[in-house]
Order: sequence, then C-alpha cells, then structure tokens
Amino acid sequence: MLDGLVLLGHSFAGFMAVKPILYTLGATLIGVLVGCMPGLSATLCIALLTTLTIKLPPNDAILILICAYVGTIYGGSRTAILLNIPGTAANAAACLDGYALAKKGQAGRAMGIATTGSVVGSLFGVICLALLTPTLGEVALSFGAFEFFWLALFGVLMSGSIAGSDPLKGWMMGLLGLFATLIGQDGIHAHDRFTFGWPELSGGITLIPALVGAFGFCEILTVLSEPMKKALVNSVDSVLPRIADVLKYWKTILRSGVIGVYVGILPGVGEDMAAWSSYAAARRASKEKELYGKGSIEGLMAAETGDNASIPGGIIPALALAIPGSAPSAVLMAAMIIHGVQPGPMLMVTHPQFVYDVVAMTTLATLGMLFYGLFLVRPLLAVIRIPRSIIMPVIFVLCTVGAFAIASRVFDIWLMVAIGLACFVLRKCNYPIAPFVLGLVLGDILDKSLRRGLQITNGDLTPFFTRPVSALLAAITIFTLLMYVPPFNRRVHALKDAGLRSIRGILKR
Amino acid sequence: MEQESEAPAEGLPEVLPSPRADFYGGLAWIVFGIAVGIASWRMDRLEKMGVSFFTAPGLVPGVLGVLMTACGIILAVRSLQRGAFGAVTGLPVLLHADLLKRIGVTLVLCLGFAVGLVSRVPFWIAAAAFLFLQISVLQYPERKANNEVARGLLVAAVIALIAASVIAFVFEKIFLVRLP
Repeated sequence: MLDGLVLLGHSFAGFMAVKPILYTLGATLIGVLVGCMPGLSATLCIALLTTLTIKLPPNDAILILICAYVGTIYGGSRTAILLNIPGTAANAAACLDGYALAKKGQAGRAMGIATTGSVVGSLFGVICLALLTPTLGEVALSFGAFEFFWLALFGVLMSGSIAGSDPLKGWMMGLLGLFATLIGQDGIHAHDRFTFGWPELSGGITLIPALVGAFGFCEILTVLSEPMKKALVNSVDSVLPRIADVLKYWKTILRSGVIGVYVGILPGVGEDMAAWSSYAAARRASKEKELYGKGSIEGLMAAETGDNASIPGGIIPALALAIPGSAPSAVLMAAMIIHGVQPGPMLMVTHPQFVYDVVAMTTLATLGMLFYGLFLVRPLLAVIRIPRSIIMPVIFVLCTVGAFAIASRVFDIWLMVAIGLACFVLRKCNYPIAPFVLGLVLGDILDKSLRRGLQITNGDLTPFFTRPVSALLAAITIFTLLMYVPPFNRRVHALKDAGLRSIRGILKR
Repeated sequence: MEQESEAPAEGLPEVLPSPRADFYGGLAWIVFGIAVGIASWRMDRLEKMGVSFFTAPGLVPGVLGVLMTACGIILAVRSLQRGAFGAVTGLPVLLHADLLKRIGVTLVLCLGFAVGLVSRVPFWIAAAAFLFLQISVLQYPERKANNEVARGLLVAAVIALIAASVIAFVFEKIFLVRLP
C-alpha cells in the first residue's frame, strides 16, 4: 500500500512540468473538439493520435492519448445538450435531459452539470484505477491459458450481446473480428494462415489501420449518407456548476460512479452502456421520476458521471489483463504495445511505475476537462458550426495518414479503405462494429490460449471447466449465451419469479 | 443568441434491413463460414515438425468457420420465419437511390485518392486535389441553390490548400511522421 503511494507520488511529480501540462491542455482540447463533432468517435481520435505521437517518448504519447480519450467523451455532451445529437455514442443518454434543459433556456446549467458529473465520475474512476489495477494484476498472475481463453471469449460475447440491437449479428461480427486477427503468421509456429501468397498479409491485419477504417472511413461514409438539415444551437447561459446540484445528488453521483467503473471493467462493454445503465439506475431510485426525459438534473448528472467513470474502468482490465474494457481502451492498449509497454498480469512486475503513471495521466486529463468545461465553452461551440462537407474530407485525409504512419506501408491504406467499406455495408445491414474490434484485439489471446491449453492437457477439455476461475468464467459465458435461447430464458424467468414469490411469502409470515 | 449548425434530418424512419436482405446475408455467412472451415481443414498441420494436433494452425479458424456457418444458418432460418419471401419488402437498404446518390461520388473520390493518388504524387498535392474536389462536390447543391458556384469553388480551393499544407507540415515537420 505504502509502496503504491510512493510510486503514485513519483508519477505525479514526474508530470509536474511545463511539457506534460502543455500536452494535457492540447490533447484534451483536441479530444473535446473531436467529441463536439458528431460522427467522430473516441476510438478514431485515439487511433489517429497514436500515429501522430509515434515518435514521442512513451509517457508523453500515452498522456496525449488518455487526455484525448477523456476529452472526447466529455466533448460529446456539448452537442447532446445543444443539438440533441450525441457527439459520441457515450453521450446518447445525456440527450434526453440535457436537450430538454437547453430548450428551457438552461443550456449553460446543463453543461455545468455535465462538467461536474464528468469530472467527479472520472476522479472516482481514477481512484478505482489506482486501487483495483494492482490487485487485479496480482490475482491475474495465477491465470493460465484456460482462464485467458474464457476471458477473451466472454469479452467478445458480451460486446456482441450489448452492442447493437441484434445479439446474433453482434456475435457474428465478434467471430469475424476473431477470424480477421488470425490472418497472417500464427503466433505459435509462425505458419502463414489465409495469406494467399501476399507477403503484406503475413504480418497480419494491423490494428490501427483496421480501426481507422472501421471507425473513420466507415463513419465518414455513414455521416455523408444521411440527409442533414440546419439545426439551431440553443443559447448558453452561465456554465458554472452549482454546488447545490452536486450536494443534492451525491448519492446518484456515487451510484453512477460505481456503475460506470463496473461496466467499464466488463470486457467489451463501452462508455455508452455505462451511461445508459447509470441513467436507468438513477431513474429507478429517484424521487422525481416524472422529471426524467423532461430536463432532469439528476438524470443528466447520472449519465455523464457513468460514462466518464467507465473510462478509467475500461483501462483497468486493459492494464491488468490485456483485455480492454471498451473499443477506445483497445486502441490505447495497442498504443502501449507500440511504445514498448506490454499490458497484462506481468505489467505490475515489469513496469509497476507505469500503472501509476496512467493514474496520474488520467487525473491530469480530468483537470484539463474541468478547465475547458469552465472557461472555454463559447469558443468551443464554434466547431459545431463547421459544415460536415469540410470536416469529413479532412478527416479522410487524416485517416489515410493514420493508416500509413504506423508501418509506412501503402498496403495499410488499402486495408483501411477495404475494412471501412466492408464495415459501412455491414453497418447498413444492422451489424454492430464494436464486437468486430473486440474480436480483432482478443483474437490472438483466444487463439494462443486455446491451443496452449489443449497442448498442456493433451486435448483434454476438462481443465477449461474445472479450474475455479475457469469454471466461473465458463459458467457466466455459457449462461449469458443460453439466456438468448427463448425456452431457457423463459424457464429462468419462471424460476426467478417463483423464487421471488416464495421469498415474499416467507417475509409476509 | 441562437446559432445555426447541421443535424440529422428529423422524422426520417430508421431504415433496417428487410428479412429478405437478412436471408441473403445469412447465405453469405454460410458460404464464408464453409470456405473458412474447408481452408482450415486443408491447412498444413505441421505433423512433420512433430506439432501436436491441438496446436495445429488451422484449429481455431476451423472452429470459427463452423460457428460462422451455424450463425448464418440461424440468421437465414430466422429471416424465413420473419417472412423473407412473404410480401414485397422493397429494395435492400444499400440499393436505395438516395443513398447511392449521396454516397457514390464520395466513394469514388475517396478511392481515387487513397488507391490512385497517394504515394504516386507528393502527399500535399494529392490531399489538396482530393479536398478541393470533395468539398466542391459536397457543397455544390447548396451553392447552386444560392447562385454562388464560383465563390464555392474558390472557398473550396483555399480550404483545400490550407488544410493539406497544415496536415503535411504538422505530421512531417513537427511530429516527424513519414507521409505516403
């Protein structure tokens, strides 16, 4: 515990210099601006900045990426409140009450609440990041191939179940992502798989060009394929948060923070689900349910606290297990690997300082977010007025550079275009993209873990179901899957109802 | 004071794929899954190197191929249950004329830039040319309606030159990233 505090102190001291502070302010500003532009996601922002910062020292580069991540999720609340369009998927829940408040002439108050919720949620998440990552990393040291196989499978399954409206299509996209990552030399015997004689494919599908295609080019095509109309940006009153709002809803803030971190830790479940879950929980517990959807301060606070708390939450499993909690944290993890830091259970052994560096970086990002939330609201609104006919072509040029820069291969640009086009077609057919990305990130772990596990046991599957942690993960994974089989689902609900009735009966007696 | 911005047009119905499109999608998944399964089965198992069957390179892709085929079958059967061949369900989402019109030129220009121009001409020239064309095309209907096409072309040219130069300068000179 004391060692952890010393390391944390070192980390904060290391960042108290002019350069890191300038990086923080610059990257958070970029994040907020990207978040303000509907159609551009945190994943794309981090992927593009990964290429821009590739020559920087690791700590500077990761600081920039984390600041951009936090800034993007926060920036998305601006358009949610002012235009009723979530800047990122994570801010969809903020539209409900944020826009209603703006229509009542309280857009500034709504943004102040969003700022407060985001800052408090993020700080709560940072505390959990500092406390949970070393603990989880220590537990994960006992994990073997069996446990990692189930973790990877569970991540893809969860992401497929939750992203989009059709779990079947979500799982199919997860399988496609898992398959795509197997293209190229296999990680155990260096044997070429599905390369069809193309030497460029031997290195596999590189994550950054694939993500830039899936979240950049696909998004550009999607935005440009939708008809647009002129919308009015609501006027802005004072954006200073009111202490009374914070004190009145402290229980909601705490609850949303816990939910946000929990959802963030779940593999493959992103910030959007954290915001919706926090919003739903706040509504259930609220004494003013009738205000929800009509401009509830509590609802907006819950949504923004939840999504920002899930950012550090998503980084926890990425650092401790190398299993990212969300698509943006998957890119962040890839960036760490590019910069020579290998996340996973050994991280606390090989780079213990780095974990606390990430804690300090996230804290700095939160302070940067607070700075822009309080002092730069009106200038930032100018970005909302830039037409998409200018933004989207510029973003495509950046996507091209982003795809090329990691390995200086023109092939990666073609890959980005091909994946972007494929994702656009699949998205139009109601297939979600997030499970594909999770599949891409977790495919290698799943492949190696399954084959290593089978080699250890000489083909015996029993340890996959009998080792304690494996058994637990297997039970959760199989149960989650079976819940989508109607007869099983009906039976479980019938049993649950019967159980509740008998408990009520016992309590009445 | 209120300001203008762009937002998705309200009142547009959410366009979801029809059961028939899902049926054909299911068939495509079945074909793809079977192809992956066959390719995995025929993949070298490296037995000559003494590699165990359980670490053969084709094991995991083979399992994925089977799972993708199974999911494809479920999707196809489900779409049949939902009336894939019942009443006429209209054009598939991707073949709607409006969508093709909006996206067609963008797609051609993006592919022309990424596959045709990049790495063949200096990056800033390729980027400026692409940005000028793309911005001009996207803004053309509005500019034409306001009778300011020439002004629109000039604005597009200025934006394209500035944006291309700034991107090239920032990546190459400040962050030392190689450009295509």
